Amino acid sequence: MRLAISVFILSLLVALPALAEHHVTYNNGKMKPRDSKLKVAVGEQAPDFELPSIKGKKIRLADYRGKNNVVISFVPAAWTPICSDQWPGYNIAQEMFHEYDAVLLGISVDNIPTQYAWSEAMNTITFPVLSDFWPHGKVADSFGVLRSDGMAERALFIIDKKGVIRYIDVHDINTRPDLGLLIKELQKIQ
Amino acid sequence: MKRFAPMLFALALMMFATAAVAGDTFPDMKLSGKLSDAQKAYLGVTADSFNVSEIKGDYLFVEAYSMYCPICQRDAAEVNEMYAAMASVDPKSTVKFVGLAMGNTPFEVEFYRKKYEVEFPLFQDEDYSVHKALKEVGTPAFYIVKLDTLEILFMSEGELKDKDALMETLKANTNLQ
Repeated sequence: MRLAISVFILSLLVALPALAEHHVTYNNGKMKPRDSKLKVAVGEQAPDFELPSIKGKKIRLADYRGKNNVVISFVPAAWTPICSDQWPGYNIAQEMFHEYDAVLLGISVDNIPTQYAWSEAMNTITFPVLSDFWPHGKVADSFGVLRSDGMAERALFIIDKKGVIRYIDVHDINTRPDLGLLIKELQKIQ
Repeated sequence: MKRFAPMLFALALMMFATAAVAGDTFPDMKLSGKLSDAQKAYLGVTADSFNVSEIKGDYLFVEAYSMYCPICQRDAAEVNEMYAAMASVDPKSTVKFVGLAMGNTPFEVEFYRKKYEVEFPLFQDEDYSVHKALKEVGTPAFYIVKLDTLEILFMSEGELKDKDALMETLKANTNLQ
């Protein structure tokens, strides 16, 4: 039996380096596509908020008023496959957001240490990553994108320089939104 | 109890099995992309959409990637260097490079191409059909395929840790050494 266990451990040691090359994530499996009710609508003023970012600063939505359009990307949870796929793409595409005077804010309900470690694992996310951890999901709830399990929806909001919501996509939580569609919506508000 | 050893070994290998291995057949799937005339000439095709088996050449080097994959983003420059280096060791372009963008739309493929100045042909996979055909391989993944039989000569899944070693593997598998 000792030999069998030794062989098993040896096998894992041989196989583990291949696994370590990948970004390890936790797969939630297929979830209910949408599990919340929007509390805001296109044309309305976006609810203001102030949240801590992983860089230590507090970010307030109203601070962008008159300066920048804002794209808010709510994602359900750190270290999950689709979220870990979505933000690295946005990270390298920030120049496209900037073309339309837009800044990107990423929000999840995870706490700061979790978000920080996750951001580093994703090639260092350079747009503000904000923690809606406590009071838990308060900002997500103010937009109406807090799910009954405490996670946020996979949702995108475009807010113009006047603080007005111009686009909402509460996406199927199981799929990644197309970046091209988001950029087209940004083009529309110019 | 010794009889459990091979079972546990097999179990460990199954836990970490990759999507495809050398010796398997690469799927003869339809590829679609926005190709320049030079890229069509490089692949020996006339349209933007065709099957893998229609590519003219001896070997295919495939990078399965995604614009959203941070490891692929890190590897992009090194894969470009491999493509550039092939020009001197393979002047007749017997080895064709292609990038298959798992789950990426044409917009996302075009963005990645411009962002990382990728010169070899890239193909979209809006409906994940290519990803499914490749048994949902993790990205990045690299394949060396013999084009007349579509036999996979080499496959690796995960970060490109040693570009020079992969280049040597590529040359060794394609009679360029």
